[in-house]
This record gives sequence, structure tokens and C-alpha cells, in this order.
Amino acid sequence: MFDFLGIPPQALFGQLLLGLINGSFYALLSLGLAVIFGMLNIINFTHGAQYMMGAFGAYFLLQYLGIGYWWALLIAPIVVAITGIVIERTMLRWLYKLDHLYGLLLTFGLALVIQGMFRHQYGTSGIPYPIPDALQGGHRLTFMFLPNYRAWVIVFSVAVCLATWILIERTRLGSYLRAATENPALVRSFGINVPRMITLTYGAGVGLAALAGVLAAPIYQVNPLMGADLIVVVFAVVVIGGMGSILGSIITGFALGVIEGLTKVFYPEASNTVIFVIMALVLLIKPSGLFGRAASQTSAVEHGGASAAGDGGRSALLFLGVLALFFIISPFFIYPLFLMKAMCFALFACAVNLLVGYSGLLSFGHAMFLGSSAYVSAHAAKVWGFSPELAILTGTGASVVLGIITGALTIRRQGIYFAMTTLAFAQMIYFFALQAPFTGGEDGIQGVPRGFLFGLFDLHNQVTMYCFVFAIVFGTLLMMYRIIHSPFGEILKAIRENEPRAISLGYRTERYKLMAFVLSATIAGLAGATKAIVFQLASLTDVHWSMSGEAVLMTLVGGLGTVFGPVIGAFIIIAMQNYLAQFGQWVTVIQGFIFIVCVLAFRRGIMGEIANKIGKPL
Amino acid sequence: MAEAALSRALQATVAGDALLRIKGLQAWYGESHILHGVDFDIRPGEVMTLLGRNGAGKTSTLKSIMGLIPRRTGSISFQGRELISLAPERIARQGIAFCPEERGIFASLTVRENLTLPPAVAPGGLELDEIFELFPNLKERLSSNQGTKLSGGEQQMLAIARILRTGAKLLLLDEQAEGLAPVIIQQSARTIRSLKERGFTILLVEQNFRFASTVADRYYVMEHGRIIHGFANAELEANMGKLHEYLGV
Amino acid sequence: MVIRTVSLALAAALAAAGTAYAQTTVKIGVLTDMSSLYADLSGQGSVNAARMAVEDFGAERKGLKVEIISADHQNKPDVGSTIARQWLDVDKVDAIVDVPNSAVALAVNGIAKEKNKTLLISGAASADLTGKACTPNTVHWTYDTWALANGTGNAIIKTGGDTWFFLTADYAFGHALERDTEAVVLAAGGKVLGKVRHPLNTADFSSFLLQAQASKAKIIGLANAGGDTTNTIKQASEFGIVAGGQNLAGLLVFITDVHALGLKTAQGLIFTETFYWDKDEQTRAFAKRFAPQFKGVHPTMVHAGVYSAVLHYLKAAEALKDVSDGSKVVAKMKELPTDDPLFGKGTIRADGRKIHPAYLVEVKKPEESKAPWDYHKVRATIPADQAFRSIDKGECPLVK
Repeated sequence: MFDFLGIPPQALFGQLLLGLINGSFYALLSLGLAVIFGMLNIINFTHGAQYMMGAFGAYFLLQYLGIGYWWALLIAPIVVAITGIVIERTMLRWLYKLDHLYGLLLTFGLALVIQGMFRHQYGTSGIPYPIPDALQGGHRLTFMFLPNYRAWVIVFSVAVCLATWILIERTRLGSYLRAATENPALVRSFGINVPRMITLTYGAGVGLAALAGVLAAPIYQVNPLMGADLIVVVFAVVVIGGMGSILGSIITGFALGVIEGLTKVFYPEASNTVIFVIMALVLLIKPSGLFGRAASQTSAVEHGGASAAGDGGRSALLFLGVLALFFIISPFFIYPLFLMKAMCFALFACAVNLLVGYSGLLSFGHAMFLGSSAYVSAHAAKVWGFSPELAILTGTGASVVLGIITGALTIRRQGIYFAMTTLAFAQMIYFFALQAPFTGGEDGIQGVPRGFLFGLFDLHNQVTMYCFVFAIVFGTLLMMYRIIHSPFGEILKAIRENEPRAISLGYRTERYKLMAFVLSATIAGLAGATKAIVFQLASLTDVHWSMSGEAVLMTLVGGLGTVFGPVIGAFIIIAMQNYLAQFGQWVTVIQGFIFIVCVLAFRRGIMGEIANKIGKPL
Repeated sequence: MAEAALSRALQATVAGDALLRIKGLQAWYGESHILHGVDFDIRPGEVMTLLGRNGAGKTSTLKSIMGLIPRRTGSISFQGRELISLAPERIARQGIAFCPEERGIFASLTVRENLTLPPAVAPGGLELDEIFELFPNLKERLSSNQGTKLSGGEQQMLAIARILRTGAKLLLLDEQAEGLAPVIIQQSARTIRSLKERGFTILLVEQNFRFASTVADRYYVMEHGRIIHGFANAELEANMGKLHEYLGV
Repeated sequence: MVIRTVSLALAAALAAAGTAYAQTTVKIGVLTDMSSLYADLSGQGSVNAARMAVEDFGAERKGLKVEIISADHQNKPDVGSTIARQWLDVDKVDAIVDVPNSAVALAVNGIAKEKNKTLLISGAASADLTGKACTPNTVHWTYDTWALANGTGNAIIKTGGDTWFFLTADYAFGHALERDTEAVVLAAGGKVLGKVRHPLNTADFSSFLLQAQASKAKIIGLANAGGDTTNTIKQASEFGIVAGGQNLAGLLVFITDVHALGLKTAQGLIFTETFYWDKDEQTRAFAKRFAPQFKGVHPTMVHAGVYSAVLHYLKAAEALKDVSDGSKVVAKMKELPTDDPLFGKGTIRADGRKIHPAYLVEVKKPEESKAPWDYHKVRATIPADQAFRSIDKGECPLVK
């Protein structure tokens, strides 16, 4: 037989089979997520943690109760499903009327808390869980050795996927679910208890995640972080398949497994990233995914001050003055490096806020602007010997270019699809940063010189550096304020409130949104480039998707849609990370709690609450 | 004044027999106050029509009865049972069914699934063959695999047909004549009369009072969230002038 | 006359008494990973090890007041460097210890030199720390990539494992491990039959293992760490790699990884470490004290390295009486020979490399293990003078 691209056919079949097996696993894992999103419109970021709980459930059953794998397949998902029901009853139900964003943030916070607590208890090395005796060993096929357990994985996954599909598409209960997804009020008027159905559906989706966890325990180490990076991939599968389509997720899961398997043969370094490339491509051609229905309208994102009546916002300027004063006085009491970090992140958070709060677009990929400009700026200063202000300018320039390219490709999308497309691009940038020689991989670019500002002022001098950072940050914040209160800003607000209306008034909303996006990217880039000079370091952390999540958290805490709320939010989060560093692992748990509390009880954020109290927009 | 007296008189005659009695019903959508105190009764077996302009509060009244407007106060009593604070599914189970203005046919369900979706809430619902007797077209379209592939008129039929199977005795029908060809409207009227013969009680919301006049026993006129006028079918001619004024036609 | 003698004597006595009570304060910061990949092999355990060293040194009665603080760098270079700067600028920390994760270590390395304080690295692996990036302020304890590659590579070739296939994590650290080991294998006359690079934090290795199987190499070298390594090993067992006649060589494995895998899965794994808790009476005694403080986890070589480094640092501090000049303290540490219950006798070279023997260990079969954590049997000892890269090969500017 002939070789395919240098790979003998035997090997290829082996890889394809492995790819199918993995694909079946992906399909099972994304099934629960698709059910929850399709039926409930909740973006369940806790899915990864619930998958992990399923695996741990199997472990506990074996370790403490001597109950083996076969019973665990039944019991663990039920137990985890019950925890899911508790979550839905106590927390999620309050969010149904709000923008998807809040459900996502709440479940994201929950994931942090759950993972953090498991990590505290069980460390991060992982715990062994054996393959059940009946499935040990394997069979020698002509082209590979197939472990029995892997064969079981594909059989079981296909069975569960099929059963779920039949349940939803062909049974009476399924018809209730599908109808309730379209028009819950009407279905209730027929006498069907929709709230209870929703609760049980969430539980079922969670149970499916846990089931995948039990399935995974014998082959992957049982580890508190096992779901953390997997969740992003699973999301990608669901988004590609089309949110709301069960069949779409199943098919995409299998397809992804095969494609990933082939990538592992021909270009293995990219196998983690190929899913995001595919997601970006699919979303560009078919925005609602391969089998998806159009996204439902987003409803009100609660804005701190922007929607409050009135204009001017002089009070906002006043608060900016107060903040500036704080940052002028505090270096005498507080470690200046920490303050500079807070200022850079304040700028980053404001950039995100500009997009979320003012254009209604949640970006999950802003880290790509922060990070890429940090790398370019660091490289310019260290390797090309630019003076710091030129290095920062160069770095920011890179962000502008990146912003224009990604903006042009993503701006047509809405809501969750927009978020996922930005995430896809950010992951690709991350992959690039990991690989490209100039970024130094996981070492990052170290020893970036601070240099002489304009060739004159030595930035190694803390005072000079501080003044420079202060000038950049507050100068930009002031400029942002001007932009927000300019006609351009008013149009953005109008677009956010009611885009169809803005279009009917003759505005080319796509253009405005793109401008807002590029502006946001530029500010984020400026923050990153400055940070690289201050810390003399650019690293992978800057481009990781969790950095984007942190920016959203800062914005939420400070006040979504207030002009300067994110500055306070950034300060608080950075302070927490810094001063709680000695408690190590608890930092992420606490961050998770803050996400949850903010979403449930404190949606306006700090500035927003203040704005509400004084009745003026901030 | 005279109208108020008239409507009070009207109410007095039906008080003893009311299937549904509404007193002082108020409702809010968020901050906006849409019903300002609605009072009326419906006798068993009658077809009662709510007339009024757009925004008068007719649909909101139906939705309040059904429990679909969360913030409501007052009293809605059905067969002696107080409904004002019940959830929609509980209200449905009392024997009330709702056919919304937009019909609400589900795109992700087949025609058959759409038809059989609402569960039985009481004995005595129509059997499938009785339904096909009323709506022969539906029988032909039963195999269609998407509810929304039906024409407007067929969806209309489907929307009513499905709630007839449930055994609900009080039907709340919203705008049955809107946007449909005259032929279909006539058929709608025939259907309603047929249902009345079978003992259903119907509360009909209509802007088109000519259509309503072919089926209604009594009329109430709403404006700004209140009942401002009421009369029996026999008095229709006498009230034409007032109707023109209220409805602006 | 008498009064003058008495008062002089009194003054002298008082002066003597005064010096006897004069205290040197030493503040040590343990910068480690408490929440991520390395939390078990360093983490809180490193902090505990540092404290044990202070206790065992008898700091109090030697006139040293020692304070230990700690922080979690979360495996992020910028978090690590911020903490390091704050410690050295504001919090009066004299020495930073541990720092697992080479990227963070390299960043802190530069900062320690800038502020002229001391850095004692136990957790990080990069051999550049005593090579291109060496400074007069840093000592690299415990192990480095060269030592691991050399120990494992050479020892395995000697036992007949002369054909290799590399499974490498696709980032600088993985590449370095692969490069160093490949050099050793080729120099010893072996052959490398193939390589595959997998992304960092891969969960499923079945595809790569299939390729490794197809190569028919006798040894599959795992140039990766942490969760990637444990997942590879677990899945290798599933695919019958070892049963099929190939052996796995872990290039960076800790006892905590073996514990995470269980002996059934990990048996037969060969790797190099510079400390094993069950080696002799003294190491056993240490482990017995260490484990209860750290959830029963037995000390890894990183923990042992922290203990040993802090102990030696305090010796230098006692001799100098003043630790504010980091390079002076490190110079003293290089001057004094090291001796502690865990690593025995050793030295610190001019390039900052701590020298001690290394051990090639093999993971026991389940039936060979007599007690929890009884996992390793020592196959060979690599003498100290051969265990680390020779000083002239490292390109350390201090040595030119």
C-alpha cells in the first residue's frame, strides 16, 4: 500500500481510530454543555469543574466505600447532578432574565471556587484510578494495539449520545424541552411546570459532564485541574456545532477528535490549537455554527451609570480627579511598583469596559492585545534598543494592527459568538507566542531595559518611572472620558441600546463597532506595552485566556459601563493578588467568590452603586 | 356615568352564575402600570368579548388571568378558586387554556408534536377525531415535520386545536381574526360557535368587532386598563355610535 | 587605683556581655508554587523544610534571629518578579529560596543580582542558571536539566537501552531536556530513532504513544514534566508499551509523581534524583518529621534542597554576622564546604552550582514495596564529580 504523506497506512488507521475514540469522548463531554445552553440559554462554565467532580466521585466511591467503576457510572453523575440542581435553584435562576454574560461569569466564578477547594484538599499531582478489571488489557489489531477500555469508551459514548438525542428529539419529554426553549411562558400556560423542568435539565446536563468524568478517570489522572483547560475546548466544540444543537455537538465532537488525531500525526505541536482555528473559520462563514439556530436577543446588561439619565457626567471627572490624587499621594505609603501594576491593569480593564460597557460586546480575547504589545515592546526595547517611549509606541502599534485585523473579522458577530471568536483568535495568538522564537516561549522576554525616556530621563529611577506611568495612564483615561462623552460615544451608546434602530437612523453601525473595537485594542495594547517596560518582562501569562477573564472581573467589580469604575476594580483585584499571595491557592478561590457575589448581588459594581446613590452617571 | 351604571347592572345579572369573576385586577410590566382595576364576570357557556384599541389592556387582561404577568393584584376567581397568586402551570391545571395572538407554534416541533403538546388538565377534552372533524386541513398536514411550515391559517387552527384536547373549559382566545384571509376568519367564527355548542366558555379579545359580533354573547370595552363600557349582543346596534368613538374606527 | 581597675573591668565585662547579646537578623523568603503544577513537589512543603532547617541549625543560641515568610508565585513570571521586588525593596528580605519553574527563577535571578541579595534555587531546573545566566548572587541547589539528562541518559545506555524515541513537551524546557539527553545518548554511541513534540498540558497521549510504539525504539524518553509526564506514563501502561518490551525513561520525575500514579502503573520507570528519603537513617529521620506536616507527603529532592540550602546559608550568616550583601554571603557559602544530613558532604562551585552525588532510581513493583512511599530502589550512584556539567562547558561569565 502507499504511504500517505510519509505515513504508512497502518499507522494512519491507528491514528484515525484513536481520533474517533477521543472524538466520542469530546462528544459526550460537550453533550451536557449543549443541552444546558440549548435548553436554558446558560453558558455553563462550571462544566469543567463538574466533569472533574465526576472523576473524583468515582475515586471517592472506590476509596471510601469500596464501590467500583460500574456502580460509579451511575452514582457519581447522580450525586454531581444534585449539586448542579442546588446551584440552579440557589443561584442561576436569578439570572435568566439577564444577559448571557452574567450566567457565564457566575459559572466561571463557581468553577474557580470548586477547583480551588479540590486543589487545596488534593494537591495538583493527581490521584490514580484503575481501569476496571473487566476492561483491562486489549486486542492486537493488525494496525495497532487497542486497549479494551478505549473500545468501551467509544461504545459507551456513542450509546449515551444516541440515547440523549433520541430523548430530546423523539420523545414527549423532549418535545416539552424543545418547546420550552422556544417559548417558556406559553409552555407554562399549557400546565407544564417549566421551572422544574429547567432545574432538572440543568441537573441532567451536569450529570452528563460528571459521567464523562467517570469515563475519564481510568485513563487520565484524576486531578483537580483536569477540567480547567478542557472547558475551553469543549466550548469550542459546542460553538462550532451550533449552540442549541445537540446533533451539532455530537457530530463536531467526533469530527474534532479525528481532525485533532490527524494533526497529531502531521503537525503535533498544533494539535491543541487546531480546534480554535476551525472555530474561527466556521464562525466566519456560518456565524451560528454548523447546525445552530440564530442567537436569541440579549437582554439588559445592567450598566452602572451609562444608562442613567442625563449627560455631562461631570461627577465622573470629579472621581477621576480623586483617583489621580490617590495615585499621587499613595506612593509615599504604598510600594510604588504595586501601584504601577495597578495603573497598568486599570488601563487594561478600562479598555475591556469600553467594549463591554459601551458597545455591548464582551471580548474573551483581550489578552491577545495586552500580551502581543507587551512582547513587541519588550523586544523593541531589548533587542532593537529603542528608547522606552518608542518601544511603547511600537508595542501599541502592534495592537492597533492586530485590533484592525481581528476586529474586521469578528465585529459582525453578536453576544456569545463574538466572545468565542475573540477567544479563538486569542488562543491562536497564545499558540504563536508559545512557539515563536522571539517571544522566548515560557521564559518570556526577560531583562527588558527600562532605558532613558526621550534619551534624557533614567527610568531606573523609581520616581521618574512612576511619573511616566502615571502620565500615560491618566492621560489615556482622560482621553477615554472625552471620547465617551463625544458624539461618537453617544452613537456607540445608541447602538448598544438598540442596534436595529440605529441602523434605521442611517448609522453604519459596523463601522462604529469596529472603531470602538480598535480603540479598545489600542488602549489594552498601551497597557501591555507600558507594563513590559515597568516590569522588564513579557511572558505567556499576558496572552493566556485567564488574563482576559481577570480583566472582565475587574470591570465587573468596579462597575460595568461606568467610565472609571474599572480603575477601582483593577486596584482591588491586584491588591488582593498581591497581599494575599502568601495564602497562595486561596487567591483564586476568593476571586471566584467575588465573581459570584458580584453577579448575584452587586451587578452594578462599586462605581455603579455610587452612581446609583448619587443619582448621577459615572 | 350612564355607562358605569349600565355595566354595573349587567354585572348584577350575572353575579350568581359566574364561572370567572375578576375584581379590581391591577397589573404592571416592570415599572409601567397597565391594568388599573378591571372588573367583570363570565358566565359558564357564554362567549364574552373584550373590545378596545391597541394598548387598552385586553391582551394584558388575558395574560393576567393566565398568570403570565408576574406582578398582579386584585382577585381572579375561577369556579370559586382564587387564581391571583398562582403560577401559570397551576392556573392551567384548573381548566383554563390560552391561545396567544402570535399563535406560538413551535418551530422545533413537528405538527403532530405541536398538536399533542399540551397535556390533559381535566377529563372531557376533545378526541383527535373530533378535532379533525373541526379542522379537516390539520389531518392532512399532520405529517409535516415542522410546525412553522404551515400557513398562517393552518397555524391558527393548530393553536386552537391543541388546547381543545386538554379538557380545559375556559378558553382565552387572543385576536383570532388578525391578519388572516376573510375565508379563514369565517371559518374561525364557525369554529367558535361550534365550540360554544359543545359547552366551552370563551373569553375573546378582539379589535375587529364585526368578527366579534358574529360570535359574542356579551361585550366589554376597555380603555387605559379599565372596563369603560359593557353591553349584551342584543344591544349591539344601539351601541354602535359609542363603539366607533371608543375604537376609533 | 582600685576603683579605676574595677571600673575598667566592669566596662570590659559589660562590653563582652553586650556583644554576646548582639543579634544578626536574617529574613528568608520562600517563593514557591502553592496552587499549580508544582504545589506538591515544592509548595508548602518547601516552606516547612526551610523552617525545619532553621530549627535544626539552632539559630537562637547562635545569635541569629531568623524569620521565614513565603508566597505563591502561581507559576507566573510577573507575579514572581513583583513579589521578589517587593520583598527585596520593601520587606527587608535577605534571601529568596526555592523558586520552582525556570521562567520565574530566571526573572528572580536578575532581580537578586540587581538588588545584591541572595537567591538559593532548589525547584527550578534550567542549567542556564549556572551557565549563561549565572550571577555572584545565586546558588543553584538540588538538580538541573544537564544532571538529569546525563544521569538518566548515560545510565540507561549502559544497561543496553541504546535506541531512543523522544516524547517532548513543546516548549523551551522540554526542548532543553530533549537536547541535553540526545547529546548524551549520541555521545555514548546510542541512536535516536524519532521524536514527537506535543503541546504543553496535553491530556491524551495515545496518538504519540502509538508513534513511539511504531518506532520500535527500546527506550521512550519523556522530555516533559508534571501532569504531562504522569498522563503519558498512565496511558503507556494502558497501551501495553512496557509489556511490549519498550521502557520509559522519565527525564523529570519526582516521588510525588510516582505517588500520583501508583506503583502498578509506574513500576519499572527509571529516572535520576539527587535525594531519596529512604537512603539512610538521617534521611529517614528527616522524612519522619517532614511528612506529618505536609499531609503525609514524603520529601522530594526539592524539599531536601531547600532544607540543605537554608542550613548552609545560616552557617554563612553566622560566620559573617551580616547578610545584607548578597554576593558576599554567596562567596562565603562557596568558601565553606557543605555538610548536612540529607546530601552529605559537598561544595558549591564558582559558578554557583552545588555539587553532590546523583542517584539513578527505578520504581519498585507493587510487591516489592513494604510501606507507603517505599517506591524507589537505587540502581546506581553517580559520583559528585560526574553528576553535573563541568564548569568550563557552561559559559558562565564568572568563570571566564
